Amino acid sequence: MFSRRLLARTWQCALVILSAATLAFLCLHLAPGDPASALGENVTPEVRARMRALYGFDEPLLTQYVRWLGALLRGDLGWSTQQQRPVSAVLADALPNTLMLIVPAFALSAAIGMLVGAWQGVHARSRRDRITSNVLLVIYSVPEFWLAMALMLLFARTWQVLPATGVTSEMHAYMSTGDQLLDRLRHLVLPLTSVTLIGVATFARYQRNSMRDTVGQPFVRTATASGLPRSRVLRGAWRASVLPVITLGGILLPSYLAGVIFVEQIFSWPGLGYVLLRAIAARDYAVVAASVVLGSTLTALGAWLAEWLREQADPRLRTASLSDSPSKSAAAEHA
Amino acid sequence: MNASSIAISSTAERRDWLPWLLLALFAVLAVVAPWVSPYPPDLQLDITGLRSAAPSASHPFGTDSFSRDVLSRVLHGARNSLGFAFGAVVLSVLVGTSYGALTSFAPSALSAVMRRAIDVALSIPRLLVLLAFTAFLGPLPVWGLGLLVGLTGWFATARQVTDELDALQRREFALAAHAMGVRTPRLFQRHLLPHLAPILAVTGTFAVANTIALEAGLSYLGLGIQPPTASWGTILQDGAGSIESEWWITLFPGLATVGAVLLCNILGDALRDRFAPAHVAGVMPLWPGTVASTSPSDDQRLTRAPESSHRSASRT
Repeated sequence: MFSRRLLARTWQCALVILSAATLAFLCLHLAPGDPASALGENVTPEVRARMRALYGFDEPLLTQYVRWLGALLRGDLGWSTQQQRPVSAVLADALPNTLMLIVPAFALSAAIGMLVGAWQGVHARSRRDRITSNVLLVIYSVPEFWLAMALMLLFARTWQVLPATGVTSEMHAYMSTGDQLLDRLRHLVLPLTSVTLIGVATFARYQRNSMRDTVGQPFVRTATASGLPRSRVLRGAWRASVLPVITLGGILLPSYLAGVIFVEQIFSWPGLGYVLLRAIAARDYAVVAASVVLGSTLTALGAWLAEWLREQADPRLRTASLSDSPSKSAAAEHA
Repeated sequence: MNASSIAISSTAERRDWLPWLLLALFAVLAVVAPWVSPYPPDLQLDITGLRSAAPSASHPFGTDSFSRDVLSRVLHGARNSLGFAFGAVVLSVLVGTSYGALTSFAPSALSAVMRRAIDVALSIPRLLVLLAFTAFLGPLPVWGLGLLVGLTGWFATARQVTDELDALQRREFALAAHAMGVRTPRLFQRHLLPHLAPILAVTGTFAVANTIALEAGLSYLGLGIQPPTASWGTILQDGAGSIESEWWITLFPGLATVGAVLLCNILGDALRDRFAPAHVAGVMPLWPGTVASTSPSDDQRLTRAPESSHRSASRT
């Protein structure tokens, strides 16, 4: 079912999640103080020792590490001292909000960026290409939080056409279903635009170069010379040029997550980034550790998806994966 | 080539020096900030009379809510922000190049493990790691933060150096040097490193751009450089709460940040076009445009000869 490349990618996914979990564990142990030191001054050493034993802090580090991994696997992420409820509940509330932002932002920026970039690549070095490139480079160079602040200042504060913060307005519960949907969409516009614009610039920059190089390739010249209509030639060239951009999409995921953290903070969007920054401010270590694991897991899954998509888009990879495993096909023949 | 395209290329060449000049100006201002800035960056001039004063002749960028001169703070901020970014990137390029070289020259089993480790490290979102460390370690001094940013930023460089060295080692001059009995350290230092320099310059320039933005972002969140030290990020954080009424506190450091990042990106693009890293190694990759600033795609690995005899022969 899965090719060898995809299987290798799956292993890498698992390794990424394991590394993130290890990192989070080490961070938790770097943090100053343990349950015993939180008890205050007037406590006898015996009580301290009991407390440490109760939370397993007296056991060897390796035992604690294995127990941490086991708990993670069962979905037990610890207890949030700030919100006084399980970390998994905190993150389960935040995750849909982040996905609501990051998935449309990624899809939109990939689609628009690929279109703009392909158009530029076909007209490479022309005046309109250079103007577009310069505009995109400026957008690409703006830090997310600065763009988000500027958008918020213009559209929410100065012109007041869109809401500035939150997922829904205060009157949300009293609205009709249609108005509720509209309300949510209106809240989504500014955060989504902030993340998407920079993504468009990034995708377009790479798609442009890829398309420019593809258009100069012999197979495109051959297709043109054989009298195919230009639209069909370009469609074929685009298909070939899009492959490295899909790979790039997988590589870009961490930066999307980073962008979303800033944007959520500025628009008070109650997603993972917002929760994470609140937790950092409140020294709620369990939430911070779990966010690192969850964020890395999301990225790893996204990268896996990009690899799968690339395999769907590129027939060469599928044939390569077949010839990669002669033993398997030989075994199939003998079966 | 027709006349119009010649005209285009000559105007492009004439404009080439402008970003260099502007970037040099930023750098010079950052270096001489203590001597050219009108006031000390932390001096509260007049907390009653000059609190959040709008730009004027004596304070071209206005003053902030602590009555500090924003122009002086932005100039000193350039010193901290640019110095920070440059230092962190130098560190990450050094570490990345060393790791990449070790990976490429290591025995194949070890090399495979080291490659996999880099792939994994690249997949963990860097900002999450930075946020986690700043959360658990508490506020860091500037050098500590620089160390942290530098040590989390070298993975892409390592990956690129590894791939590039793999390709370079298969080229004739490397094989010839090896056949003449040149040992690996000398081969790397005298024969291969000069070929890496353009790539490192390109990645390094883009990395400086990213790191300036990263520092500004972290400081804006209150988790980077700590106030009252002036950096563009901390000034932005100071002004963020009153952005509507006192726009000058955020506008000028914001413009400085965007300008510096933009200039570094322009410079990176120019360097990449100039050196075309894809051709440095003499391998014809499928997609030259994608080489700089992201790792080469797996396509290239697929089309390159798998661990050839040349490669294993190049070690003594």
